[in-house]
Amino acid sequence: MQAPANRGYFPPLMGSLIALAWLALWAWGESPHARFLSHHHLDEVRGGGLMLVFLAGWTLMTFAMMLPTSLPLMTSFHTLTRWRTDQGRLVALLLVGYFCVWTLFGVMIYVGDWILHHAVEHNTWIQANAWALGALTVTLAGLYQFTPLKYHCLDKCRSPLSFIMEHWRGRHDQAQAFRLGVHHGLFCLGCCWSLMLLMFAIGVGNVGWMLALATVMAIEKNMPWGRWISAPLGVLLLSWGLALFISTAPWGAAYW
Amino acid sequence: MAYQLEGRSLEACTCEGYCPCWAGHEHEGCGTVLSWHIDSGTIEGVDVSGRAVAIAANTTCSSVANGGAARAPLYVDEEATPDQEEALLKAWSGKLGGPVADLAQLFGEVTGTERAPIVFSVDGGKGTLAIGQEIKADTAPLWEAEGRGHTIHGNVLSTASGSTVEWSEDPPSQGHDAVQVSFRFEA
Repeated sequence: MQAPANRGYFPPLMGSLIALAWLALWAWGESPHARFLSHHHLDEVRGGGLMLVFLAGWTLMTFAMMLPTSLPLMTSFHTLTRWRTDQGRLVALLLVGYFCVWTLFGVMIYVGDWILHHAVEHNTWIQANAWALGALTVTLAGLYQFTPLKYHCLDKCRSPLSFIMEHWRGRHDQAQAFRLGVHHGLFCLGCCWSLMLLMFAIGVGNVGWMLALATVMAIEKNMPWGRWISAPLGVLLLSWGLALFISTAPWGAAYW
Repeated sequence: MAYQLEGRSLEACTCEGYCPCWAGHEHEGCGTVLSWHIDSGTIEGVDVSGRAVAIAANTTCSSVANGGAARAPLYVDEEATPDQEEALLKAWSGKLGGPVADLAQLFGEVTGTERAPIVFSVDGGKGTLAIGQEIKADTAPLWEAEGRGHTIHGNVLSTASGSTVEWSEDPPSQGHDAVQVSFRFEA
């Protein structure tokens, strides 16, 4: 029933894929096309074809940042299905389902950003207060760290085997593997969307920031003590948000 | 249809943090118990409603990663009829395929059944899981004090001396994980 060839290769394979994604991000950031990766220049990637470029960059980034946080689930599922002949396909479908959620979130961000830019251009009140957007994003991320939803999602992510038991029901295996990925992706999104939005506040294309955020998210989800950093992280973000308000506010600048 | 089972499962372990042992996380020496209470269901035509089964292993996690836990008996609650016991063993040793056979990948070789009183009174996270005199997991919502309701709970795993399963004697404040979910398995 067990294929010896299957043993042990999966974590190194995933590790290599993740490393490759980071390498690609770094190379992209260094290339003349770096502006397409940077969310500060999202307005440069308008239009149908360019939206695809943005989504490619976004998906690459979520792959590099989010896959490490979800390795326990992927590894558990891989171990569970090792006796099956269609193991490769099932694990691939799980991954596809997981990243479909993140790519759709990318589409939402793209559209949301477009609406926001439109609003800034056509509404003088928003235009006058646009300086607050960065600070608002950071504060929102800080507040979210204290919501029950955050912890509900985090706990789902922190119990991979039970998560599989709940969703892996037999029959229609391929559709279920895909759905398992989607479900897990949704809970990961619930866990981390606000931290991913921070990219817009700090301007991404910056591999260093990506690494820092990815590390924090991986610790939160996978380390035994990870659950205890959520609140301090929230406090840190709230303080940062406040500092941003003070330093960017037109009336605040007078004090500096 | 080989089986159709619905019920609740409880995963408890003495691992640090959550229960990564089954996924081959490199923590050494982790006592783990997985249990299923079947609220309703049949296996090859045998009604197994109300039965509970459990697998317990005191395992090194790397051994799990490298091909399942060591040979483990399947605990079947002592009220099971011989037919029910046989049907449960058949499903949980992976012979009937489907999602239960996937889970069986984690246990290594299921060597046989062991009848024991299984108390599975966990609902909404609070309660007790007891398998014979050997294994006991009291679960209480770990985060209840913080006013959040969810299904991850701290527990104390304890064992009578001389039993086949030895749980590490960590202080309960460590908050070992117990996770309760609903399941529906079909094959």
